Amino acid sequence: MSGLAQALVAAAPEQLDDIILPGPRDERWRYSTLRALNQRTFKTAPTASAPLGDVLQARIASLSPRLVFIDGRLDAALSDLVALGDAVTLDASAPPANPSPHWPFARAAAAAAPTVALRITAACATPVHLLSITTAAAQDAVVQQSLRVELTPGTEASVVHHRLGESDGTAFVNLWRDLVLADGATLHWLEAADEGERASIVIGTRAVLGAAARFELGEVAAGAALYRHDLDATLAGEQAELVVRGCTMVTKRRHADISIDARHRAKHTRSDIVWRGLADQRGHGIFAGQLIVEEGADGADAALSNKNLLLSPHAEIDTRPVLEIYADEVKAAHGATVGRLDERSLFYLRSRGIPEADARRILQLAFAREPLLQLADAALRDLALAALARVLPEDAS
Amino acid sequence: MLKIDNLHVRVAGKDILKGLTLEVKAGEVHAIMGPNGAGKSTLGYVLAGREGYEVTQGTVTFNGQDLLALEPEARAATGVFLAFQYPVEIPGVNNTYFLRAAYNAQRKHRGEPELDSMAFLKLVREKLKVLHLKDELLNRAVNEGFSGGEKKRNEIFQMAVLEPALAILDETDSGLDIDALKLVAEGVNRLRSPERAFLVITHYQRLLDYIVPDVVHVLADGKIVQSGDKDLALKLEEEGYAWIKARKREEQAAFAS
Ligand SMILES: Nc1ncnc2c1ncn2[C@@H]1O[C@H](COP(=O)(O)OP(=O)(O)O)[C@@H](O)[C@H]1O
Ligand SMILES: [Mg+2]
Repeated sequence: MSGLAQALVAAAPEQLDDIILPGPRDERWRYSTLRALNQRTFKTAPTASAPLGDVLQARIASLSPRLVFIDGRLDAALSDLVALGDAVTLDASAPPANPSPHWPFARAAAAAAPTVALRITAACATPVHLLSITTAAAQDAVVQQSLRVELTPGTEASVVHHRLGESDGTAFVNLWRDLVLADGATLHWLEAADEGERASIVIGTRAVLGAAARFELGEVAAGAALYRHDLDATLAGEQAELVVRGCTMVTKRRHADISIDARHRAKHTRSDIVWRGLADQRGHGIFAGQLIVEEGADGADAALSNKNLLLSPHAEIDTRPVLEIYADEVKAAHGATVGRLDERSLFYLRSRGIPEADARRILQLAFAREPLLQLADAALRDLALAALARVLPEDAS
Repeated sequence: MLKIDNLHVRVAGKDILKGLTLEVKAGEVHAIMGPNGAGKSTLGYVLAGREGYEVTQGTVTFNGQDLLALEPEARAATGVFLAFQYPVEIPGVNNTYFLRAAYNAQRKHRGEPELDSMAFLKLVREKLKVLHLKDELLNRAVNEGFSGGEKKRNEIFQMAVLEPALAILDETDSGLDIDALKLVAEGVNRLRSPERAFLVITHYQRLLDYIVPDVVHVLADGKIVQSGDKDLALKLEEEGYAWIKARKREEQAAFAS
């Protein structure tokens, strides 16, 4: 057994003895090879974390209300949900949700880590911050987390997931979360990261939406040595709606692989996915979007757009939109493009006196932030734009 | 101010300018007229420094400096401005942000202090008023969804803010109704000064009723084939470019015999 699989199994041997990680022939992992990870030796998650630096502590204190996970473990002392009062209940060792069988990483996380369940029963006025912090104690370790967020009927909440790692961190971070939106619930979720280029991150997000429920995902993906985010959203109730607005910006040798499945299961459901990708230097951006309209999901409206910019001859972009329709009266549109920075626009800016490097950055930023500007939750929109400003390098060239 | 000597320019493997010579002094307005495809826009682009416009022969100096050696942004900072025939739409880039970035980049290049956003907004509002442009223009993305006329006026607005020493207007009049044309001309005339020069490229004489040129040149087949005062423009309007072509044929015949 390979290094990575060994470490995953070691965390929960009885439940995972039959686990099989995606191999080279797995079409859906084609651009995210585990070869390098399989050749490494990983430790199990640390039981004691490294002390947090002042900057990090200040950052934590500035985000409230919050749930803080350190090296995969919920830290009750650092967490603070007081501001939310009765609107939420927290269960630090809930029964794990069963991820789908073809998500081995999610299975591993569910088996190895206690499932933390957050139940939201009333509207939350401000975003709830989830912080997943990987410390120096987790160098070369597998860090796993299993989370469930449940919204009761008609509730609305916003969640920001901050992933914070050491700039030279080498952990393998495996996050699994199960989002359950009851009828009429609305969940806004922003995924924003600040990780080093040597880290490896695999995220599995499953969302099941009841009737007229709405899930809006925003993400700024800056990538890592390996970064993979799977979103599997099932529009299970009539008029359920999925909105995704994200962008990938990979530089250096970073890799970011986004895979989204939108399953229309009920009638008059809607999915609307807009993702932009930029790859510079030796970065590699991957986007796979599957729109699946199941039998009986008549009147579904599914739209997916993925536009990309290749900023360097050594960068790579792979995009694959897929449409599977088994219902009637379906509206479906999908499109993907890969292009380069528009020379005419660049010249226009330069002809007005803007130096080339600045002009490039202006155009890249404009391209990347377009989907983020459409996020409905203003607080999340601002955080998304701030995250984007962090990942777009000043010396973009 | 601007001295172009025997300029030859090749674009996509094709020779477009074939020995163009022109001198523009400070304070002057020169009009360049000529049939479609003559190379008028090529001249504008090559002066502004667009990539792909290869100078195979000749020189261009601007206030004694070799203009062709400068990057486009450096040309802008030394005072060259091109109002595009087809202004570019740039979605997602706010018009005010863009203009302030340009304004401050030029000032920085010249070693002048940058303007803060309040001071800049004040400046921009004044210029808007002069051109009878709406405030909302400031909040829109650069040229995005602008009508043809709005795009042209936005070019003149940018010129008014940046106050270049040499403004090259490439068919800024085309597609404008008479009222818009008058506003554009007013914008230009307000900037006319002994230190400034204009190169007004136009296909029609009409604009020159409002921006009265000191010199009119006819550009055909990559060269200046005729220069004169403003009456030359009127003559062209009456007799069309066929007259130039016919004259050229006569000359060639005379040369051959
Ligand atoms: N980017 C280009 N690629 C190829 N040909 C070009 C390009 N730009 C201009 N040309 C050609 O150069 C000639 C002059 O064009 P242009 O300068 O636009 O003329 P004008 O502005 O006088 O109408 C035309 O024959 C045109 O087709
Ligand atoms: Mg032209």
